[in-house]
Amino acid sequence: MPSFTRRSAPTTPAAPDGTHPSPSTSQPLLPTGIPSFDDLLSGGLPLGGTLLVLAPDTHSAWSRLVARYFLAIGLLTSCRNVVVGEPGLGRELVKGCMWVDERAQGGGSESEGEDVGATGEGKGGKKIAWRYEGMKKFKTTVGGSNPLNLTKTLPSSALHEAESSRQQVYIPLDDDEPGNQLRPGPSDRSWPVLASALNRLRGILDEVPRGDKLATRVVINELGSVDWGDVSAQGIHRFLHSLRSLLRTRPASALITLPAELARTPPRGWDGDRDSWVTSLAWSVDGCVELRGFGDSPNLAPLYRPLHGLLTLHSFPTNHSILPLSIKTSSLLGVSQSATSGSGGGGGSGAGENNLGFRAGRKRFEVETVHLGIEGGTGERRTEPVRDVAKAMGTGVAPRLGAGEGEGGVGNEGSCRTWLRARRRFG
Amino acid sequence: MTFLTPHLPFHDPDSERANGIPHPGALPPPGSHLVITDTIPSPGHFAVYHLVSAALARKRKVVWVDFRGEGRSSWETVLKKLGTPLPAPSSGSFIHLTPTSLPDPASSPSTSTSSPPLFDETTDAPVLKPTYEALLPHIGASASASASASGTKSEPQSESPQGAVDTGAVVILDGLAELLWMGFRPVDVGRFVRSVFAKVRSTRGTLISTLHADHLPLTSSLPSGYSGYSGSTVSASVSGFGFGVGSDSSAAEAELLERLLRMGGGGWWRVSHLASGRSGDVSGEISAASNFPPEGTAFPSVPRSKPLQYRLETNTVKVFPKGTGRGFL
Repeated sequence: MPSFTRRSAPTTPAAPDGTHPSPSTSQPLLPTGIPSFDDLLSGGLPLGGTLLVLAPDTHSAWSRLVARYFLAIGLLTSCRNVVVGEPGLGRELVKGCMWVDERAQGGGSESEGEDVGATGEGKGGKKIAWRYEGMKKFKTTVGGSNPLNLTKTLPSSALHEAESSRQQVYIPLDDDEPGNQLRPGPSDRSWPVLASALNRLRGILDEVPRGDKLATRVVINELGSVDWGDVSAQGIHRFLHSLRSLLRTRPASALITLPAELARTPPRGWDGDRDSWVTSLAWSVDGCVELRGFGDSPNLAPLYRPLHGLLTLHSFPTNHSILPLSIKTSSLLGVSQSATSGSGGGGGSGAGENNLGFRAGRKRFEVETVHLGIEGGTGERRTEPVRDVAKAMGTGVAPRLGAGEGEGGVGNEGSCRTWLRARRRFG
Repeated sequence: MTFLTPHLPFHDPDSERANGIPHPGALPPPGSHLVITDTIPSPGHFAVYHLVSAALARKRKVVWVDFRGEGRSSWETVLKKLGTPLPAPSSGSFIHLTPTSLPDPASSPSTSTSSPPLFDETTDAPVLKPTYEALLPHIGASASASASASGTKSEPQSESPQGAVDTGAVVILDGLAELLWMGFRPVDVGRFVRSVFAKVRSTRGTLISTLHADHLPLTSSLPSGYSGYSGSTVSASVSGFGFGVGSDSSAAEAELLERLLRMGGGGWWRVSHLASGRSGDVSGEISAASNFPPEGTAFPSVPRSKPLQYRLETNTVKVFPKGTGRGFL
């Protein structure tokens, strides 16, 4: 055997532009544009994968915000963007994308009130206790700086340029495509609309202007909304199944959003409850994330301040590895063995999954872990009005201490004081 | 021997007689049917990887009917990590069928006999006959037989060159729940599985079906020593293995599972998550039940009340009794 062998050229094709390799496998990943979101997906959405974002809050549009991040980072990294949906809404979606703040490029923290990774030195020159000086500030999120800034919007010139160069493509919803000869089947009357969208998407994916070096980001906008026709649960599942098989062998990934009503209640044709509907959706895609904003339940907002909602990771990509990479590498999820095995057992080793939430600041959207406040939750005293106690005393019914009043010691203490005050007043 | 064999061994007297030494088998005996159910927090892919790895190591032909649309490249990566790389597509010892729900599949260049349509092209009704017809030619030819006489039908019960009893293919019907969600009726899917099983049994092959069963009550939520059914509609005789429906929500999955179990001829591996949520130490639980296996064979039995727990790792899966994930109670 010769000492020197001729090294042959690598047989694997180069990764497309705009992707980066997975930390554990060589699989190319497409970043979502939100670093903390990428942490949950172990670096990004795998090429050929599908990600479903559910946002059941009817008063906000968190899934649209995530879709805009996904499209904006695609425009920045020379990917091709395809938006499937009603044309007006699709263009509005792209038009509202966040963009880069040129002035902030190259330095400076983009934090707002809470510096990520700041040390223990307080603001305004305040000195904290010496024993905490060396400690890093408690962090609830991960990820480096994000070039995308929510205060900036995609310039119209950049949008026109992307549209004219077909970097940004729209697929409208109609069923009068010449090549679509399908008749509406017994399962779904609106299937021709879905089939037409899939056929057009296949046509766009098969035209490869720059060879395999071009990654495509597909956004399925508001799948199942009124613009898509009267879509049944079976039609949505069939669409997701077709989309997955369409993307698996191509350098493309898709982000799918559903209207809020379909994230809250199953569509027609589904006999089960909401949980079974969401579970079936989570199985049908590679990753499924639910952003449950506090718009529908405003009483939760002060409890979880400064978060704007809670996040549930229903499923994450499990292909190409035995151990899902999200379990292995995600810091936010908190079940990574590499993070816990060093402690040698006991303590926090093998701890369960973290509770997750999200918030949108002035400049950026972040996924964070959920923690109680410094005082262990709400700092407000919750007591019954005095007149109720007085009425109770007047009728001879002693108020119950600590039963059903408030939560925790603060509420009970307040009730006790109120009752004592009332007792002194009435003798 | 792959990771599940010491904990969930099969006993096949024919194989032991042929080899001369009794040893636990990693694969279900010929002519049997193994049902694998899982839940979304604890997918059961690792159990299928274990069986495929064992089949490839024993030169058994594997036919994977990929109803989930997972794709071959993912399995290539995983099985390479497990030490049993997938054979080349042209070798004939690993067949990958991907039934497609895409509209107008004939226009796709990749569509061939390996991608039968799931919906009728004229009526758009859900159909499984094309999948069955695409599957039929691949059932029955073992890897050794196909290697010696490619394309010819193998003779069941023949002796292989090594002296072992020749067996048919390992057929995997992966993702039956996805069919239900796309509009297939449980009775039709059940008929399809029964037809495939009849063919597999006649050729001394092995059938493996996977189904998502998130509707089942959690294993560890049961009190210790519990046995019996928690559902009233199901009457299959899987001893000590309750599989009642938690609510009326997933009636289709429950009905299909009931139909699969009523077929008998094998067993049921049930993969489920912990009630306490995801954890770094324990990825989930697995229990096993025997369901009228073929005569003379034995399937493993792990009761629901004392399931095995497992932890997924980068290149393997660690299986251990409940509560001993870190080596101590």
